[in-house]
Amino acid sequence: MDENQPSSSTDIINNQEVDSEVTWKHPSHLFQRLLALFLMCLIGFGSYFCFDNPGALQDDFIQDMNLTTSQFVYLYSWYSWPNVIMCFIGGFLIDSVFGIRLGTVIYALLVVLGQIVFAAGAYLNTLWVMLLGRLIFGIGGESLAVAQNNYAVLWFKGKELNMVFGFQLSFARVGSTVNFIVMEPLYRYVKQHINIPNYQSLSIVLLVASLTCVLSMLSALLLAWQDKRAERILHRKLSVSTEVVKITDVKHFPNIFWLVTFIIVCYYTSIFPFIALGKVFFEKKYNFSPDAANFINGVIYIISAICAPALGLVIDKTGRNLFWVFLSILGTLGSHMFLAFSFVNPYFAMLTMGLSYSMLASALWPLIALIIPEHQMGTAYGIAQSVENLGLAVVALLTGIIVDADGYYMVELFFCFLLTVALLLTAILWTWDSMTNGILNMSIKQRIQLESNKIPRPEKQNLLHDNDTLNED
Amino acid sequence: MIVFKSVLFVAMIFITSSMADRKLHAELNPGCFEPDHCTSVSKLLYIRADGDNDTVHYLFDFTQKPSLVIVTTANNANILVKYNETQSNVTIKFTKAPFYTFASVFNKMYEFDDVNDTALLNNGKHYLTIDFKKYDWNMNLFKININESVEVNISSNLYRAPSITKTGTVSITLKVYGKKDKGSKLPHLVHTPESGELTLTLDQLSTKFSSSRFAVELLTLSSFPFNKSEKLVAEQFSDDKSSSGTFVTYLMDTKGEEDEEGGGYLSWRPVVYKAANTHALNSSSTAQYTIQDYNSQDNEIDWISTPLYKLYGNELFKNSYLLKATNVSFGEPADGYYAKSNYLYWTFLVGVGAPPSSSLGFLEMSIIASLLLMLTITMILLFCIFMRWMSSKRNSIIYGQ
Repeated sequence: MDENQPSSSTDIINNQEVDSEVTWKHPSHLFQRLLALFLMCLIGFGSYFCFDNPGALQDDFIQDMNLTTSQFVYLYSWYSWPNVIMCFIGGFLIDSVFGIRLGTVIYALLVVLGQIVFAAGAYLNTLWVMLLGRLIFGIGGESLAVAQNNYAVLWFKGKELNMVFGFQLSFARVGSTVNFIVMEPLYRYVKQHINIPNYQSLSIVLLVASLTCVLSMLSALLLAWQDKRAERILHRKLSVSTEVVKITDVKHFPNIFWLVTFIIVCYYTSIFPFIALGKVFFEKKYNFSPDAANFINGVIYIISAICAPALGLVIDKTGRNLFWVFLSILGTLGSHMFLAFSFVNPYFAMLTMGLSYSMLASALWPLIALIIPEHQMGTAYGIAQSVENLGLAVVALLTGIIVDADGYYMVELFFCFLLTVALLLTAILWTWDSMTNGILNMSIKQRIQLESNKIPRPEKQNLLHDNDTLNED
Repeated sequence: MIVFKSVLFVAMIFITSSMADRKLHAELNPGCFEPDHCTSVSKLLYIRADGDNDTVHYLFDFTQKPSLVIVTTANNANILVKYNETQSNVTIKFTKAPFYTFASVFNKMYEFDDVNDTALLNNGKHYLTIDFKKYDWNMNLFKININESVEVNISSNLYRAPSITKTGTVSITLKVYGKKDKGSKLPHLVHTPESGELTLTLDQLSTKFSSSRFAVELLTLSSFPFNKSEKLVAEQFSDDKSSSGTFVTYLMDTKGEEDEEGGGYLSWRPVVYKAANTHALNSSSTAQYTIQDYNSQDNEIDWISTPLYKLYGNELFKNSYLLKATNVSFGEPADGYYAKSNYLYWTFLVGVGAPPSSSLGFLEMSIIASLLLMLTITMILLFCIFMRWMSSKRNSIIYGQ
């Protein structure tokens, strides 16, 4: 699941501050902005909560619906496949067709609808209906993330934007974590108290989970109302996009952009498919109870929720992105090796993996902003996320097959392999960087020095800066 | 993945063909000239596995208690069975004295009422003992793949005891392979030409209690009188290769002083499967218990119902053999007891010589090798970056930049 970067075409031309005293009712008052931030975070909560529903109830899904592991991972791959292209289209539709407010509500509605279809599939014990649900949910969920970021830019650009992105990422992770903690007990409760077949208990639990999506949709509606009001009071107008995002831009992207993209793919494919399969792995290998297994599986998200803003700050203060990327991948590789080759308490490995994952999110994604000119930033991030989604879909399928055929040990080895590839690519990128201008691994001081030597451009000067510190995934 | 698998397949062929193979030969009631008479007094499936240096004889007898006896002899030794008038008079001999004998016997099955859902045999509230010899065993399948494998399946749905009604089918499958390989069904145990793979299946067995679970008592005989206790060693491997999700292998190995090896062994993964064509998650666990001596006078009646008595007669009870018993129960807490699936199968290995060890597969080796290679290149690149950084530092100190 990705948190998209803001669409660069949605900029505020005239965000007039009312310097005179404002009451709490005024859109520029701190209270109003905090309320907007809270609503923005809530918009993503439902989709992140429901995204990992299958992961939290993995063995129940497999047993109640009599699925194989390969069939189970379809529930994730059918989410990922459409987003191989939807990352482009979702943002584009917001910019050019729906507008931000209507777009957000529509996507939030799609998320609710998807989750309900998913629950209906469980009720009917029919896999294809569930997959259809996940497909609809995926289309809504990814575009909702784009919309969420667009709102953030609209309300906070030039103010607390980086912090807002940090909060959004944290809140998304809170959604995932709460899901991992509550779903299993909830399922057991339903099973004990309602006398229906197990797969129908599953559908009830999924339907209850869809309430979080309804909550997100209500937030979208409230925010739309608040935004409309703010637009009216602040006389805010949106610029008409001047940059046309063309697919042909891709041809001109430098090779190192693709290198970064491959690092992204190799890294994230060793994280998300692992989390999707992790619950049963911890149950089987370490004899954890289902609850404990879900908890440790969610540790990565918990750490990310707590540390993402702080680690982002570390990058903001130190720079040296490649060093941090290298360290993060090395940490993750070490964690996976511990999980693969030892029976040592997995908490140590999972804590390291969680920290590395949070650090990598802050260090790796801004590299794209350093490589690609700002007017192509949207396309670049879109491409990176699309390729990542493609990788996730393929690897999710592969890991399911490997678990069924060979076991978790082989899957862990496979993840180690992917991370080693990521580590090698990072070393190559670092070598390339040290042989050229070294911009990717500069300290903040050096970077500021370099920026000050450039002739400042009049337009959208701080857009690059803002994107620089975006936290992705 | 397909490419990987085919590479693995080719590699497996290469690895297994380089192993010492055995030629297999199998027959029912060997040396019998009157089939009607023989089958009335004996149900003995005999498999002979000829190697370069010795011969391994598998005696799968299901006249009474299903038993697998593995006997190693010199190359040209033959089995001699005398089919006398009654079951108890049948004798088995070899033309040359065996080097070593190891046997495993399905002695009893226990049904226990696990009211507290602990899945442990000793915590049962009520027990029902089912004697394997009271089943009327019939052979359903006898399949020989020339020089590759022999598969025998016996089953029974008739339990002959006046006070116990037990419907449902109990079946036992023996597979002996000519080469080292892994089993075709989960948990895909790795077997050698010196071992037999036994699978016990309990299908639609009627249960006496509301929280019924089952356990089996296995007897083992080893002809190496170490005068030391046979050990049950639980080995824990960090891999669950082939048997997805089961990371432990139990090995019950006959060992002498200072861990001297060379006897027989039982080996299993602590997992039972709840359906015939199944996957890793449709499984439950086994529980293992201590090994007990099984050589008192009370126990003699059980040994007499095995082919070992046909082989050794009363010699069996003169303390020249190591006679032991152990239990294995099926199920884990909160798995819904036996009744949830009404089906389970458990596979274990009975063998002589060195137990099959978990060796590195070709795919695994390739991944680890490429991993090391990539890490080495990464280190070299890092070293280059570091040297470049050092020289630029030096330059900046020298030239003040």
